[in-house]
Amino acid sequence: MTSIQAKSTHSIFEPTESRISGAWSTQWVGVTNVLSAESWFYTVLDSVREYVDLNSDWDGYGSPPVHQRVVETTVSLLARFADEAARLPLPEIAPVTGGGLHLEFEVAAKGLEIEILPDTTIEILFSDGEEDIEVSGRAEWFNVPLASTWLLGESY
Amino acid sequence: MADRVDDPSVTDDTILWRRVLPDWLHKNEDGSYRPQSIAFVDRGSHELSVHISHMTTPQKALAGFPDDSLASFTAGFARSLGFKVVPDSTPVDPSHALICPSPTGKKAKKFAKESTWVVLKTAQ
Repeated sequence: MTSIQAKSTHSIFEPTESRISGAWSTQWVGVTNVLSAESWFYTVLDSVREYVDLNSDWDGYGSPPVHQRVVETTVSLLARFADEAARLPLPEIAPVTGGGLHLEFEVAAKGLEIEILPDTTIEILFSDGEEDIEVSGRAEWFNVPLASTWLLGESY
Repeated sequence: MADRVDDPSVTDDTILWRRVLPDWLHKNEDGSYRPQSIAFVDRGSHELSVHISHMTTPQKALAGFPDDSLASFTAGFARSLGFKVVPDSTPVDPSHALICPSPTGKKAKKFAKESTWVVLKTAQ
């Protein structure tokens, strides 16, 4: 697998900061394609909202609702992806039995799946049609620019 | 999670069904659908509920879930990935069984790729 395999999990999980961490600040507005990023972000937020108030056993398998801490972690992660919004497709977002959320990006034969677990750690699956590579770690350390670059087939 | 033992009375060629929610469907570029990998993940009980197909019907398996779909795979496939197949019949559902432990990550994705549709319900 290309750059993701070549780079260790250290680079997939390393402290990074979103340009919009904290809020959609005027500082961030100045450096990003505002309309595209805002549109992308609010569209995915709408998808997340669908799952905020699920009842217990929403799946018929006895799952608890999606945990609030999972929602917060997901929104924070999506805000960081919004930095790349002009280049990325919208992810599919779905709840996971047990109280987590799942994001799935697909670009041609490449897939990037991110599961936010109930304890807010994340498990990531990179797929390129030939092999799947999974890594796990802390959401705030996930190297979103590297993952986006890999997904889009660009050099990093 | 209980310490489960694989039950060989569920033979490798036994067809198992997993109920798939509409939110767990992925639409392919050609318009077809596949289950997302999370359709085969249970982070709550850490065991995956399935039906033993010859002990039920699609109508019974989907009773109360009219919008859901049913995906199938064999017990042998689950075992080939290292999972146990354990009958777990209940008064409500004699066909109930468990894949232990629940698949996650790339193994869940293998289930998603291997599965075939018994019933597919889409929003269209």
